[in-house]
Amino acid sequence: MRSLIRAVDRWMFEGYRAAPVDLAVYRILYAAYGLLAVVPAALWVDRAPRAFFNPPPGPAALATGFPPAGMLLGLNLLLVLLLGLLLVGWRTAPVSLATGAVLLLIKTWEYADGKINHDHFLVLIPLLLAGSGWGRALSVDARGGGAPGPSRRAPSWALALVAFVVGLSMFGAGALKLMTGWLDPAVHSTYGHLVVNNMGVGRSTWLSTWALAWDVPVLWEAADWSAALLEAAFLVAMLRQRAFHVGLALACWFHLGVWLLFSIVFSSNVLAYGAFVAWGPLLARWPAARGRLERGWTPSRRTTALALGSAWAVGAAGVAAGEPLEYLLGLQLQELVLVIGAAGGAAYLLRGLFRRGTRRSPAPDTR
Amino acid sequence: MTFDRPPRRGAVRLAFAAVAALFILQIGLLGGGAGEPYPSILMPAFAGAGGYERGVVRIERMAPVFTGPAGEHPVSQRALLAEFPDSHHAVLADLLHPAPRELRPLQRLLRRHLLPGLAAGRTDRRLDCPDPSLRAWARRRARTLLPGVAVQRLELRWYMDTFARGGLQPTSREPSGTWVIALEGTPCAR
Repeated sequence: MRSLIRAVDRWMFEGYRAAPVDLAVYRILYAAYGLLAVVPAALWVDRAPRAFFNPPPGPAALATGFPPAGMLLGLNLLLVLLLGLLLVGWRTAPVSLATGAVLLLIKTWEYADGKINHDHFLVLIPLLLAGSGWGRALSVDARGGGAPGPSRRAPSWALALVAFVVGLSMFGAGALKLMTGWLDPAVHSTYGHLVVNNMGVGRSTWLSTWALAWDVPVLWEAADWSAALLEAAFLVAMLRQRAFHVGLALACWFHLGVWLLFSIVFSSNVLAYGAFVAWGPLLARWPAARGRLERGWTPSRRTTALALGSAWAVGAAGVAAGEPLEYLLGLQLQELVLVIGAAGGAAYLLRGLFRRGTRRSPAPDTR
Repeated sequence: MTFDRPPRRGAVRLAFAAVAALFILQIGLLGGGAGEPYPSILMPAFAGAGGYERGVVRIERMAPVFTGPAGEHPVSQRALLAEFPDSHHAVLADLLHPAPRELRPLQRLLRRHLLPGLAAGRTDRRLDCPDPSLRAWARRRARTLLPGVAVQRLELRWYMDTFARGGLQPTSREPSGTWVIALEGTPCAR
């Protein structure tokens, strides 16, 4: 029993490693994504009749109707304020917790009609990484002496916690598929759900229209098996950082496929997987950034004011327009996240295969 | 609470244990028939076969029709619900289905003792006397979708469509119910 506890402790406290600068870059990307693609959320609830109030089990079901529009507007403005502060890294840990809490409140009301969009990683990331030290580099907090050696990798229990949540989340979906017949060769679940999504919900894509015309049972069965087994395998993969990275790389392709076939954009998942990317070494390939990263650059007052002003302006513009700025500008940021994730996942897998094949270089840098 | 020092090991262990407990609780709620909770850490399962059985897929689809003195004016489900995110359309359409939706025992228990609003959209509605806000919303949608056209009712006609594998058009269609929402007249007593 003691050896099991020691092994669990080793996994929690030493199993995952991160450099402060990697987490800091990720913090900036997360906040920028939130400002461009998430706020405002749930403002449409104001237009829904009371008959559409149909909350799932949870805090929204304590109420008997949607909240007033002013409350959601206020929460969205508060979220803009917090995301701006998260971007520049001011009092990062409490601001992270507040960001997660406000986003959770907004999403609770957005899903009070009974439809849950499963973008919970958006909410969970700031909550789980609040204690990770993602504000210890490239931030206002780091001005008074940030992390020693911001590019040095160190064990990160917070990253292990993110891996645990992602792993359980994916495993839960895979296990339910396995228990409801996805491996039964006589049942083509992917095909069945695709018909419902395409013909029932009306979300058709060029690929789904093409694929639905196939009558090749073996392909549909292959899709069933690969989806169910990939998701279920996360329970094991999360125990080792390198195996988990391989799982995330494959999952990026899975999410790309889901978008192309089902027109369902799981960009919040791919965004969460970004917490495991070694952003520092990637940025260090750019000469102008390398020196700053090595010196432990922190933003000046002027840079901070400029970044904060821009962040709040972007978020406020979205709230004023009633929809995220990425829609207004046609940026397709969420789809772009999926494509970048798939490209990054492919590069990671190919790099690992190539290095393993040649046996000349060291193992792929997993963090 | 301070953020300057790393948390104690015990606090970190507690955080992991809390996540595990939340996961088990949510699986329990789902398995016990309470429905998927929110907040949640579950990914969508797409459980089951999505209506697939013995080479065909059967799905129910809604065909909304506004009717008035000038006849029938069909609109698509997508157009009717266009002011809401399309990911919510299937669930909202389901709330416009005329078939009664019974709560499961665990849902009834939770609703009675803890969550008074749970599944209210299904439980509190009356087909013979729709919520005034639903009528007002339907009138507003008619004005937007059919400007200048007089409408008296919104008929939510449902059909069971059967699709054969490899086909994009239904091979058969059977009516499965209609909910008529009167848009004129005084509101009924609720």
